[in-house]
Amino acid sequence: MILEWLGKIGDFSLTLLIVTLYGLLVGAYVERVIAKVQGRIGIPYSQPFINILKNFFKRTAVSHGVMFYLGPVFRIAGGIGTLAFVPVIYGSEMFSNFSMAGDLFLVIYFMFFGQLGMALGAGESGHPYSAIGIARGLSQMTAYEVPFALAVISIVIQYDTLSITGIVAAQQGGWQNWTVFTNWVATLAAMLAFLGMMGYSPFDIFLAPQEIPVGPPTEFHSAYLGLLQTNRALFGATKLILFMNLFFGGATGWIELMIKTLLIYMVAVVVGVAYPRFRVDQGIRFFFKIPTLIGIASIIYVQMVLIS
Amino acid sequence: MYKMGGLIKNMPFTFTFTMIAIIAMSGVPPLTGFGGKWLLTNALMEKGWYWIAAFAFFSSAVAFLYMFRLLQTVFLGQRKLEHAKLREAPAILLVPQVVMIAVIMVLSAYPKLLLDPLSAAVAPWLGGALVWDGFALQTHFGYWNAPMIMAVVAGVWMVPLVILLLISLTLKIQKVEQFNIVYAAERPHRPEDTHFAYNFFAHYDRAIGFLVRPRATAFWNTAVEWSYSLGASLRIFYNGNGQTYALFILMYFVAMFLVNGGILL
Amino acid sequence: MIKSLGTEDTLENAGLSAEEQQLFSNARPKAYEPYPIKAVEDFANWARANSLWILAFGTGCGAIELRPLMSARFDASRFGVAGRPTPRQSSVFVIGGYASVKTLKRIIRSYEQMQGPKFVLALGICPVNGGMYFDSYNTVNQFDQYLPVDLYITGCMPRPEVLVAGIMELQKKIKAGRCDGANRYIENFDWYKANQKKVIKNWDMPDYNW
Repeated sequence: MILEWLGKIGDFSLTLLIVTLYGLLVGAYVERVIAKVQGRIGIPYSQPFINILKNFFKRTAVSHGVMFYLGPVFRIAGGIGTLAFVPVIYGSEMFSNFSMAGDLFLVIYFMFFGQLGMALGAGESGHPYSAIGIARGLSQMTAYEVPFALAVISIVIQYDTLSITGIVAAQQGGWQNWTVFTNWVATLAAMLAFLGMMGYSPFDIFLAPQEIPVGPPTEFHSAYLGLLQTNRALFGATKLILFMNLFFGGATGWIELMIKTLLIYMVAVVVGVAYPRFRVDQGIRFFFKIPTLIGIASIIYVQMVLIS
Repeated sequence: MYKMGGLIKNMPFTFTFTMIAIIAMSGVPPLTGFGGKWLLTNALMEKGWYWIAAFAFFSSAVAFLYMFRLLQTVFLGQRKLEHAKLREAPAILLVPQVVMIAVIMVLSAYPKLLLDPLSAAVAPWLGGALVWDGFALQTHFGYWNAPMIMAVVAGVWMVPLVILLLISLTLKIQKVEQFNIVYAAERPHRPEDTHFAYNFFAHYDRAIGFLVRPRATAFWNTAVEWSYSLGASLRIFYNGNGQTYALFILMYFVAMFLVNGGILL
Repeated sequence: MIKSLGTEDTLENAGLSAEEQQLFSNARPKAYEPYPIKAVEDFANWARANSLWILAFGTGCGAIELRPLMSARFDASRFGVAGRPTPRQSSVFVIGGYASVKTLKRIIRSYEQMQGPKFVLALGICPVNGGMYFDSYNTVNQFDQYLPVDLYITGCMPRPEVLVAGIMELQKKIKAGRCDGANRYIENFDWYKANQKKVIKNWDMPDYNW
């Protein structure tokens, strides 16, 4: 029993390491793509690693209180935990992580965990701009969860299971079995929600990289910021893996996973470099209109076409 | 509530208990609120009530919004000057909270303790018991292994904490006061105008607030308006002027004359 | 002889009223030593040099030279330079030319809120000797009387190419471990404070802005 758990933890640590490194690398790649669009050369591939190292090598810090100190811990625990409940490689016992603990609903609800901790930490810093960033981030989050939840319910009806492994298993046997081809309506709704989830333009106002200094993490610096940056890469990669599992047939090996997630990421990047930014209320209204209608259509589509 | 703020400094225990309760209520795993939401959603899906399941999901996301607002407004942000001397709630108020939080934690880790008696109690009327596989609860769609979730979350929470504590050894961390914030190179002047709490989710209001504006008031206001204009129109005839009334009487006689045997017959 | 502000651990925060004193920290900043292992310190310096985050605070006319730095023509992000809008996260402060007394107060506040190791890059001739504003009633002439400067880039105004060259020079200096401005500021804290308070008359902030 103990040995089994230790083995499981070892396997998960390996997954965590690979996914974090991959997330950082793919983040640098995306930065370079954006730079190329803007006619620049862009950062070196090592830049995200150096940034994190630099933040860990800072020598001074301030603390606004215990919750401020724990905020980044909650945030990265949210990232690691979400990864822990998602099976990464289909058919591999080693990289299935702790997905036997809970199903798809657990993963979706657990995404709130990091947001909550971060919101509490940023709130204790007492900076009004942090609070504004939180208000914007939380509002936008609830808005994009609506089409995403509708799409998820649609595919749960389609595959008659909530287990992510089960959903991936149902999509095996060729590309024509992937959700994106069997239930393209739900995939469309989910990909629109995905744009909001990844925080690229037009839905990047809650981070507001320049204006209300960087949204919730305004007051975070040094090692806190190092943790937050690590989490950003890790959590981004986890969301990509989740979308790949739900809509693009999962992956049976790391190479397949990397190619697929990179292509999914590119959806958000292509939209991001092409479109200007929405205000938060415009973003909320957007999500409640067309993506929600598509989400409702996807449930009707599943009930009318696929089930009967 | 807007008169408070920053009370986490004075009332750390109350804050912690409120926070745990809110995590549990808004259905964030690993605490027990998630179990209730999970069971409810599964039951709705099994019945085929997909729309209600979608609404339930959205409402739990929004519940998270307004309950966070409680924490932000009362406990986080800037403390007012007159609240600097406030003290933690007395032990007699804290002890019941500790007990309740302990119950939440235990039930979060072992929901079987609560669910087994409950399902046994309702079994004679509703039939159908919960399906257990070890500590994992099984439904037609999915599974939920609460003790394992608790263990995993505790693990992934402890590891970054230890890392941060280790890094903190190499850092000079200075504990600062509430006004030591970056304020665009200025200094804050009063806690009242630095604490952001009022109209917290203003964007939501701008986006879909028109849905919740009270309709009844608008309806009765319109009714009042219409009766005023109706009265104003009637005032043309009933205008309190004796000559007009005399004219009406005259017109009545003329009309009678025309109808009863004058020109028409 | 420079009068010490407060005791060894605390500052007296004389610019604040009694009511405000409880809202600001009155701790005195402490200098930090390099890591005990030399290899770790060298590695840390390499990381710091290759990840210079510039505080997006435009002071003086040189601020206009910072904008093209990130654009397609000069693209300083190749060297690990990025802009950060909050001093908490940034490590380089570029003094863009003359510093008027009003701006100096904000520069000091922002500089003290940056987390060490932090570097100051003085752009143009004005921070060196006042430049064309040498007899102005409202600008300071020698900037390093008020904050420690790690590298000067002179000219009026230096073009972005020169700024890129200066950033690369700063990187060399950081890698060699010779950028200790933050510690110099703390070790000579009372001297710097006395100079700052000499020119800034309405000192209504704490002595050290944590």
